[in-house]
Amino acid sequence: MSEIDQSALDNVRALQRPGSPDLLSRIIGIFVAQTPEGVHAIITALAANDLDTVRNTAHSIKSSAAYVGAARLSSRMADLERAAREEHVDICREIVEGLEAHSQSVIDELQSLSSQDKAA
Amino acid sequence: MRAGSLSSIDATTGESRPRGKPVVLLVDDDIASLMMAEGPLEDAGFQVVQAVDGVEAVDQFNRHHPDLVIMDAVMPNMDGFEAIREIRKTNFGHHVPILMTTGLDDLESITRAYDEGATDFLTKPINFFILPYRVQYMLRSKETADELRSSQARLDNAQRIARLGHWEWDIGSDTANWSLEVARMFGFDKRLLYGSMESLFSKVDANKRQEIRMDTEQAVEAGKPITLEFNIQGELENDLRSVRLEAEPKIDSEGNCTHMLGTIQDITESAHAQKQIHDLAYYDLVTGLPNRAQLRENLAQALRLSERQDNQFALLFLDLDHFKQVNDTLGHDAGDDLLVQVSQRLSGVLRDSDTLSGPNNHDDDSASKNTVARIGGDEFVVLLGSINRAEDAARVAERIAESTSAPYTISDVEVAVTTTIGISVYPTDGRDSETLMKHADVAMYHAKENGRNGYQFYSTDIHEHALSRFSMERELKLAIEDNQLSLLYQPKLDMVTGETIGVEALARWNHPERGPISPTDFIPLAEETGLIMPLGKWVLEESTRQVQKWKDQGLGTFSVAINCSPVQFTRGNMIADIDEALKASQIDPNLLEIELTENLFLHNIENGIQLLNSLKGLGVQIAIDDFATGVSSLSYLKRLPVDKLKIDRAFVEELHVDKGDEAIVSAIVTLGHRLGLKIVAEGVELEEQYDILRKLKCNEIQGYYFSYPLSSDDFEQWVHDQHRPLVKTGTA
Repeated sequence: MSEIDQSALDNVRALQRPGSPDLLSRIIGIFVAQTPEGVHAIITALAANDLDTVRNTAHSIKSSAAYVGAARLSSRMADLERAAREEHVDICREIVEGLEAHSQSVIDELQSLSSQDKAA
Repeated sequence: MRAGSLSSIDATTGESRPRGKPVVLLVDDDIASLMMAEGPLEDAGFQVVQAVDGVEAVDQFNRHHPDLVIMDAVMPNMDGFEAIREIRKTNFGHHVPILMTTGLDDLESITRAYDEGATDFLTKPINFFILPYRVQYMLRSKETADELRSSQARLDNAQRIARLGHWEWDIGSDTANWSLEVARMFGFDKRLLYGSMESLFSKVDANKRQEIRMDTEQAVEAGKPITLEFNIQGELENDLRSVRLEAEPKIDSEGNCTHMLGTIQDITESAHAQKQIHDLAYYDLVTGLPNRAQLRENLAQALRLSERQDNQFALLFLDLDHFKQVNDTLGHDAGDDLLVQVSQRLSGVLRDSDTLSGPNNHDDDSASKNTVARIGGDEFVVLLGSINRAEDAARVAERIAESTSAPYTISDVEVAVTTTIGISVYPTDGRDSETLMKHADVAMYHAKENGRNGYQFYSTDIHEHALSRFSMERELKLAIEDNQLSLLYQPKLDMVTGETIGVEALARWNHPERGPISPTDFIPLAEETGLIMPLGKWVLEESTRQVQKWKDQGLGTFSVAINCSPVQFTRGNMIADIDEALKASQIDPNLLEIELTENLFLHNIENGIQLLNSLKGLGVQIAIDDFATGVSSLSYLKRLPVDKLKIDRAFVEELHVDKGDEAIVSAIVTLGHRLGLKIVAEGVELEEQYDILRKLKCNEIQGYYFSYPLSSDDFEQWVHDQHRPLVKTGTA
């Protein structure tokens, strides 16, 4: 099952201005570059019970995931942001369980889409 | 990509705005979001400046003064809320529209956004296609608000410059709101532009407050527009401002006045200017006196009033002799100085003469005022708005001549001028302004030629008359003080017994140079000048003293009749004088007869009755003198507490030849007797007259037939001689 909502990517493509660097690949590039770092920060912060960092980082990934069409990852981050705000550490741990793998699969899929785009 | 790297301020593109494109500050910690928003905004014609957190946002804001800010709520390193707070604190940040972007699920953030001063909000994820439209819409709203603000500012400015404010009064709730300028004018708090109508009234000059309140209420009731002018206590202490209020009613469909809409304008300066213009046109610049134009108006008013009230007034034309010499030798400034000093003396004379013109000069608006005017070089005119007699004008002229002829000190030099005065009197010397002015002028030239007294009436008759009356008045005053007056006593007999029962006291004036002066001359003069008061008092005292003396001497008990003028009652304190004389002389009050003419009751019968009752209260007798000559009304006779009727001598005179007179006398006697009154006949000179009066049962008689008026010594002799044979006793 695809993690990526194609219509979201279409929205980004529609924002592409002629003569400008490719917007979608830049957005994806930023996502791909920043997300592993963010996921790692969440895991470390949660282990240290630093819920503020968990919440803020989740908030960031939530919106950038939404723009690249990673709807499930975005809503997972929203859940995490809320749980961190409400200081439900257990729920946070549940949500973070397997987050690394989830985010990696999104990244993989985006990278393949991006290379397809370039190929096209 | 770092936010801000894109930003650069374009040079103006020739438009009137300092910047060619509207600048949007885009703040988000999500770089992807910034990248996606940038394109659509730039395509829509905006210049985009970026920031990735609150601190940078505030910094960018101060650097670029953007037209609009798009602000993410949740950011590291100062969040969006705090950034808004900081931006709003800056000079440029008061009114800049701020669009806050928040997550859809974050209701708390939305509320907070508005609290912190965000203009609007947008939920995330942002629809970047719609974003430019939203931004444009916000900028247009901002422009409208700016225009409104600047139009309000322009209105406030215009109102401030015109000193004109507006207000609106909701009558039902009695709430009023007003513009900034009204608040400024009335010294109200400029942040609270509303209150009750009463708060406006409370600043109105206390003398006029109630009137203004009533006028406003009446306008509301009548649903009519009003214009009011009044003074208010201004913003500063002791700063009284003249304002004009204009208001129009707003009428609802049922015809009720629900609101008043109006303006208030500060007209202090224009009112002041108008007064200055008026003063320039109507007052002499050198002396500050009314000029010819003002005199013309006052003269016209005097003419109107005098015509209506049947008054006299006088115009005095003054010319300063030797003024020209002063002007020529000492210069124009000295001449002006002299004119000022003369005008001050003239005004002084007029002030002191205010009470001179007598009872006709009521101290109200209907009386024409006295005026001193300068009408040319050394020509002054005095208008005496109301005089009783020509002498009044002569007296003022005399005072002016005296006052103005005292030496003046001009530029350390003592100079003397004399004043020549010509007088015209309305209506004798003219019935219009021009004639009166011309005649006063002519009189002035006559006065110069004659060089006498310093003043001259236009009419020779008036001049002679005024002079002689004037001097007689002074002499009468002296005569009263110097005891030149004496009393004669005319015996009065009882018709039945033939005995001398009393006397009528008659005043005589024996002038040291002119000889005896007739009472018919000096009594009216005394009445006009008020000298009748001391004269009457003297007659009372002297006659009662004499009668009591005769009684004490054993000569007999005689009554004494005294004539009293209505003037003595209306202007003097006759009742008190009589009471005093009674007490001083110890005379039996019943022996004093006060003779009054019917004229006393002419104007006000109720007052007359009251007066007679006061007299009766003193125990004195009252006789109606000259009965049947005045405006006798038989109906009032029965209401008057009188004791005697004195038949006028005119009826007695022809009694023996005119059957008509006999019939009248007969009727008076019958009428009097039926009313319980005694009848006195005077002026009896012949036996035939006496016989008829006896036949008609007249009670008391006096006249030359029995005796002329006698001095007190002669009267004593007369009583001793007992001229009884003339009276036919007991043969009724």
